[in-house]
Amino acid sequence: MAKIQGMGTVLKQDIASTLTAVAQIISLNIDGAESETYDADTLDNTSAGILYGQTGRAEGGTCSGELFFDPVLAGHQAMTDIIVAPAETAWEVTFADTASTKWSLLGAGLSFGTSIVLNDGVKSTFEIKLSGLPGYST
Amino acid sequence: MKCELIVEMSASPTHPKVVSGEWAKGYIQPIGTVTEHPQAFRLVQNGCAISADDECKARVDRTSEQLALAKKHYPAIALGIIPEDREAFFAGEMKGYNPDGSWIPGPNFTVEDLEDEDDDTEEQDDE
Repeated sequence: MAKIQGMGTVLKQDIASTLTAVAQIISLNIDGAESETYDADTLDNTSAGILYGQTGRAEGGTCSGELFFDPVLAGHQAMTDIIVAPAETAWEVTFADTASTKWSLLGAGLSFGTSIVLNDGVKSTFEIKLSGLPGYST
Repeated sequence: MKCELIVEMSASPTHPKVVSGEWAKGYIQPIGTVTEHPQAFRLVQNGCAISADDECKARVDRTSEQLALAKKHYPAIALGIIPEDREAFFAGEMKGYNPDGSWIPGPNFTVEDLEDEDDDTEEQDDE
């Protein structure tokens, strides 16, 4: 049982069938994973509590983040490559725990935005729409 | 086009040898592995590989200085080494982070490095 620092976490992108670390990431957020439910309530439910059941399906969610953007960095160009030529892309998050635990992610699409302001470095935000479920450690 | 890895790197689940089952999922490709792929030039640009044919060499479109910088920094990027610790990493004083954020000592780690790390931690706490 351990609290793991975020520092040292690595996001890798499939480039040429090889998982390649993305540079200059500021933050990552893996969000929206949810097991799907349906309203299973019936008229003969005598309890006030509304009943739900499982559909057996689950939403994988997204992996989003922010990075300091460098238009010349190959890793960042590889991300915008997905916008130019949309393709399913494998990703991997490596945590900074002792075992370097990894979650595999399959990206169906990518959104990418860049912000240029006077009082900060050039930053980009990205969101990877996950297909299927994250490959959680087991 | 082809490139040759200069660092160990995990094969993607989409790698043909992982898909065929020849390599296990998460297979670590050793240094010297030749990759043939239309995007192989990106690995060279990233500092992970060198060009292995003329097609790749022509497509890389980077100066030798840019490639040298990328090669120097990629191992640090792959380990999540923050910019403030890169010099220590390149000097061999640290080679990664423990889960609590402290340094994993490198081959050239000294007691002075430990004191410097403590100073950095105190500065962060003061902030």
